[in-house]
Amino acid sequence: MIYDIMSHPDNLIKVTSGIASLPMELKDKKPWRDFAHTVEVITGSALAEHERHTSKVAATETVPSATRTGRAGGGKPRHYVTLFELERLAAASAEELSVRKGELYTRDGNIVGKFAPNDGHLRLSLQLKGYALLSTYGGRMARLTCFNGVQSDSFRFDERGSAELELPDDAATQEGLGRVTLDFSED
Amino acid sequence: MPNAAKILHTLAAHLTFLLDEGKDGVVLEPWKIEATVLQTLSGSQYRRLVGAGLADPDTNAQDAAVSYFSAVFERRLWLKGAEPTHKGHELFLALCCRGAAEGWECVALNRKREVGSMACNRTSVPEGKDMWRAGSSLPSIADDFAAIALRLTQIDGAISPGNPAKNTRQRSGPLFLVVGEMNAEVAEELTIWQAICCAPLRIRKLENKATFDQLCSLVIKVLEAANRPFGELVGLGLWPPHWIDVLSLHAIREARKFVACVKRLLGPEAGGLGSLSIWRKAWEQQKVPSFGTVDEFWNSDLGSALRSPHIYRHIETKSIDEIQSEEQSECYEPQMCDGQEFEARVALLRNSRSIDDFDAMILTAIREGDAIRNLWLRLEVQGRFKQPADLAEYVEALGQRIAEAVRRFDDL
Repeated sequence: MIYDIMSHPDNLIKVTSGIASLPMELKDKKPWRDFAHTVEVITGSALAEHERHTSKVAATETVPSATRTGRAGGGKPRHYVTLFELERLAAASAEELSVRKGELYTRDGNIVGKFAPNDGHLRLSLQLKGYALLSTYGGRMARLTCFNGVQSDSFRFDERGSAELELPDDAATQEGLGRVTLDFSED
Repeated sequence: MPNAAKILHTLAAHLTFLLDEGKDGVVLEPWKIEATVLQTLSGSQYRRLVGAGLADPDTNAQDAAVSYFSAVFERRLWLKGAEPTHKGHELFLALCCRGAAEGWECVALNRKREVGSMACNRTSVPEGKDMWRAGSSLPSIADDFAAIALRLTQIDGAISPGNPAKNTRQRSGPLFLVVGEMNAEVAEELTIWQAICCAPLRIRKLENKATFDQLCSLVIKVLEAANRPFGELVGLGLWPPHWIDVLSLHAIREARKFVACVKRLLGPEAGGLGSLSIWRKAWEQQKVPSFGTVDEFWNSDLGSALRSPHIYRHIETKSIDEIQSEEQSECYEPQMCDGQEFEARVALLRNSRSIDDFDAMILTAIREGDAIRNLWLRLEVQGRFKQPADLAEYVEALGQRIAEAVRRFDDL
């Protein structure tokens, strides 16, 4: 039989009488609160795992249906994989870091981005450098995602490894361009 | 129907899974985490948590989820009393400790007036020797730290009026993320979202179920702290985005107690929050300190909103004792209990017939990490539940029953 403590007063009596008869050291509230918290954690984990399994809400590589500040590409879901991270970080010295205005780099400098306001938008130019990158990623579809969720529409690098895209010129995009990931389509 | 606390615990576990997603290691990609959290929050089971029923008629589940994300995940967290850090800082530290680059295991959050031999700069990072080749090897700790330090400098470091951090800072100095000689100042009011966005991009997987549960415990605590004003407003039947910047947590709670008092005076059959005369009676027992008189409260925007029939339908019925009990429980920070202690408590509950043998078996199994779908495959479980979803509902109810039972123990 499963007791329903909340709706059956009889069971409350069982609970309280059970506790009342416990040894003194077990009447302490702390271990019970710790126990209740542990139950919160393990039941929460079990339920979340179940939800993830059944509704497949786990993060996948497919384009999300919505973001807070950006718009995901429409149409057929495209599979992307994150390959590069660009930052506005310029050379770090022992004392300070500097942010280079209007430029983005990968750490190895093989991808460079420059952005500037253009007719109410931010125009971002990206350039792949070196034969290895050009031969692998030239002509491929890509997508840019800022750390704060702002996301570009899908765009294509041309065979020379160049791409241009327009982003909204707003505070969220300006902030988000502090750190972005460049995802290439696997399709 | 699960209560809001239970829904929040499940959301916390979702977030913990997202902070541990990957086969060999974890790449923390905030946009993916955000998209998944928003997708989760848009689900029907989270409507109550995000207050979807309270919103304007044209607000859909996705909009409510976005509002919740902004109000809770991006809520500026405050220090509690004289404590040097808050749960958002602890989450940030827990993620940094798992940084994949060698050296992150020594990371700490310290308050210092002076950092090493250097003056107290906001950031001090030696130049890294190793370069991080995209898509291949790991960054060095210096590279990793430099990127994090930069992200930290982009956070607003202001301290809100009334935040104890101002005194703590005067007494003990600013808060720094420290690894060896590298240090970077950490914002006092770091949000959950900033804690995730500022963590190392590549982190190690959690080692086992116990370490997962420890992180989940921390995520529950930080989400509870960040959710508090939002959750209290939902309990009062108010659409949080309209009120969260107007009312303090204290004012919301006092209003909740007053409403509980009015409802008690009116009795269960009442269809609204009564008349000014009832409010005057309630005022004698339970004032709302933000307002000088009951008439002032009655005529205020808040008073008018609470009298609206639409809002009355959504007011969560709680007694003043229950609200006070919740407030008191916030003063105590629970810890995870170990396996032996857990089993001892389960046995005590079973002996007192608060739970039966089946409940005890399920509790032990999920503590050991059995997934609901696997647990359902057991013969004795299949005999009771037609499908795994029924078992999930039972687990949810079992968690609530135990929480309720322990709350009653507290009142003894």
